[in-house]
Amino acid sequence: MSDSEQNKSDQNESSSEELELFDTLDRYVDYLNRGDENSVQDLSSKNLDSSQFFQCLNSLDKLSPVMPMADLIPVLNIPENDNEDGENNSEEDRDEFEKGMNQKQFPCKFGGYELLEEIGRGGMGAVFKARQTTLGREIALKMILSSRFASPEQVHRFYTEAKTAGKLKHPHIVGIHEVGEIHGQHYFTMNLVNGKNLNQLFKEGPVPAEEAALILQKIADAVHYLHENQIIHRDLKPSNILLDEEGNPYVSDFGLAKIMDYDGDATQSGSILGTPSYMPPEQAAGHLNQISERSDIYSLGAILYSLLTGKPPFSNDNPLDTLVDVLESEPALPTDVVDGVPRELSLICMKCLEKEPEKRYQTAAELVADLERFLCGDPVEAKPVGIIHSLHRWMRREPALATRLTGLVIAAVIIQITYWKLGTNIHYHTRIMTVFGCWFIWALFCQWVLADDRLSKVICYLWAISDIAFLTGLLFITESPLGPLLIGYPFLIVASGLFFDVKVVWTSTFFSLIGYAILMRLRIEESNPPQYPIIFAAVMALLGMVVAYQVHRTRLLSRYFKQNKYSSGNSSK
Amino acid sequence: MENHPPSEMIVLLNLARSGDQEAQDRLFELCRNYISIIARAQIGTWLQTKVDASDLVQQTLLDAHRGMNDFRGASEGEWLGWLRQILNNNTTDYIRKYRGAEKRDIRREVSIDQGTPDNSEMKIQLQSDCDTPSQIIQQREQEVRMANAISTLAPDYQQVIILRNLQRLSFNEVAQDMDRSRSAVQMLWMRALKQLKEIMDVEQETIKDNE
Repeated sequence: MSDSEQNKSDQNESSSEELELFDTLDRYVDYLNRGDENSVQDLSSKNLDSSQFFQCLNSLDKLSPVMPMADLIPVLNIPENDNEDGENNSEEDRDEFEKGMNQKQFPCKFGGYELLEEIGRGGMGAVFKARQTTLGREIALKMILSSRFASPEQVHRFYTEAKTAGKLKHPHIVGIHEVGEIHGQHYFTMNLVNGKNLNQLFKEGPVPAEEAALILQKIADAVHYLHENQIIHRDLKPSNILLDEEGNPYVSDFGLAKIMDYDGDATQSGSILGTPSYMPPEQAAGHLNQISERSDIYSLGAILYSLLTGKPPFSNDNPLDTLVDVLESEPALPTDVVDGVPRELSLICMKCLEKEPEKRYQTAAELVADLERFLCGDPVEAKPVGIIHSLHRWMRREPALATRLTGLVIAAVIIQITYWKLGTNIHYHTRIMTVFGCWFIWALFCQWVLADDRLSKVICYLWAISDIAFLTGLLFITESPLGPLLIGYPFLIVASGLFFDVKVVWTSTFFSLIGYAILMRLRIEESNPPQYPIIFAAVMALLGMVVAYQVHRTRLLSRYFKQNKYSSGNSSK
Repeated sequence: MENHPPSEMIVLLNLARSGDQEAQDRLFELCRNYISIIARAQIGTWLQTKVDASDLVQQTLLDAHRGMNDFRGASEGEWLGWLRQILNNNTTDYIRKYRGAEKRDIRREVSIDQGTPDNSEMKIQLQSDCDTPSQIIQQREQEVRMANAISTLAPDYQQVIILRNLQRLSFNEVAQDMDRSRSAVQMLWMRALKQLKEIMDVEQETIKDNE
């Protein structure tokens, strides 16, 4: 059949219905090619009787080796007469681009894009608001610092990841359009989300509970979609969640950041760069093989926590301190931090923040469902934890208090039992127990003041010194022989290491020596034979040194990470 | 051969790995259409003048045959993803070869080279599926069935589907490539789609019957 004949018969065939069907299918393919998931959904819901066609088109789309990028077309369509001076053109363009970048002159031409303004900067590179000249649409363009790529292999991986990301379509995920290289600069383009990010939202103060739950539900749904596509985000944090003008959240930066962060020589340190506040313990500990979907659940919980309380569960000035907290301590319950946070939501949040992945929600969908239950006023799945578990949590939350109270209680109980069994002098016993009681109350008081940021530095010293004073007093009134009870001093030196401050350790060692010297002066009968107290004191000083040295090493590491954090921040400036 | 139940490929794959020559041949036969359709879409019209897609398919299946022992995956998705990856590598090699050696001879290639993001972008496009195995787990049987369905179409139907749906070209470009009027290719496309839909419907039913 020749073309003209075919045309003729086509015309006969084409009733208005036929034309309509064509129009629908054509539009559907256009949306697929563009990667416009919303329009695809919309169209298919309006044309249910064409669903079999849509299914066909969908599987055809999956077969396509070409990514949904309308952007490739202009490249293939470059008029041929441009070839003669094409080389010069691009060189001029390049010079112009570099000049524009150096002087921050906008708009600045960048291949098929016009950079309009810089909207953000990070360790990875700069983000621009840009107009795609061929389509006239505005997009966000992220330029990757070439220095962030260690090898061609890494560049390759970056493109592969971008490709995968480009296939994702979800109402709450920032769509990736294109990835490429212009003037030696690698870049990718994505949907432009006009608005702020989640960080800015809760910086202004805690978000109302219902609103927070609603936002998190949308984010969790997007994360669930990522998981369904075998992608673990690994870097969920408020600054990666963008908000549009209506306040809808969009998850961005999945998969791409991790290539930059995990590779190269600084393998492990890389994963700690940036804020560890939202990092799950398994990631903070560097157990990269244990990272799973449940790691993202933790980060979602940390985001919810931030929304509810206005600050992340763990936040110290120093990234390593935060890291240690993430690994070992427990955040205060959101209900206790901010009045009016519903208990159920608090439970949901804490279930996400469990240290052990097995205790968290196992999938993002479960979290979405539980948030749904909360929003509908139904009872949630997250249950208050058992007594042992909550005791465990408390010990992690307040280790300084927990160690002291445990020590005191054990000692007091032993003394009480001895008293019942052997029936020593009642006055003597009362005096001892009174000191214990005061010490107990004093510890509670110190912990209470410790929560106050302004006084916490002073209270560390005060607490360490007062402990020694209590111990010395207690030993002073204790009947001879003191013998093994003197172990209290070395214990206090070691315990002071828990504040992770070299000066506190030194102070504690110093005062322990003084306390011991005073005790020996007052209880002269204990210092016999005379060389024993000297040996004891020397070992105590040595012990203080060892503890101080270990704390010091931890500090060094900590400073190293802090510097790294800043230098990576500076390098992008 | 079109109506294979989904598990057949896995059965064959396991047999082939244990050294069953017949199963191996049959396995490659099952995947031939799939590879060939993608290969045709990948090399695009601008290379078609130089490379025959069937060479590429042959090369790919040969490589897969030789490298069978290197394949570590277990699922259909991984198997097909692996094939696609070999195909991608081969395509890149072909492009490099023809670009390097005969760059000046083909006008269109030069024009692609002069474009802005050009080189890298073209390469990326071709490498779109070298995903890590974990990302390929999505089921691809539907794709295999679709590839088989396309292979049964008349040649010009096949071409219009590949250009419009797999290469994502606009109808103007399709018309240009096929050297026909725009309305003609649009009609051609509609017919091709209707036939595809019918084949797939029959497929679906026979699968249901089998189950």
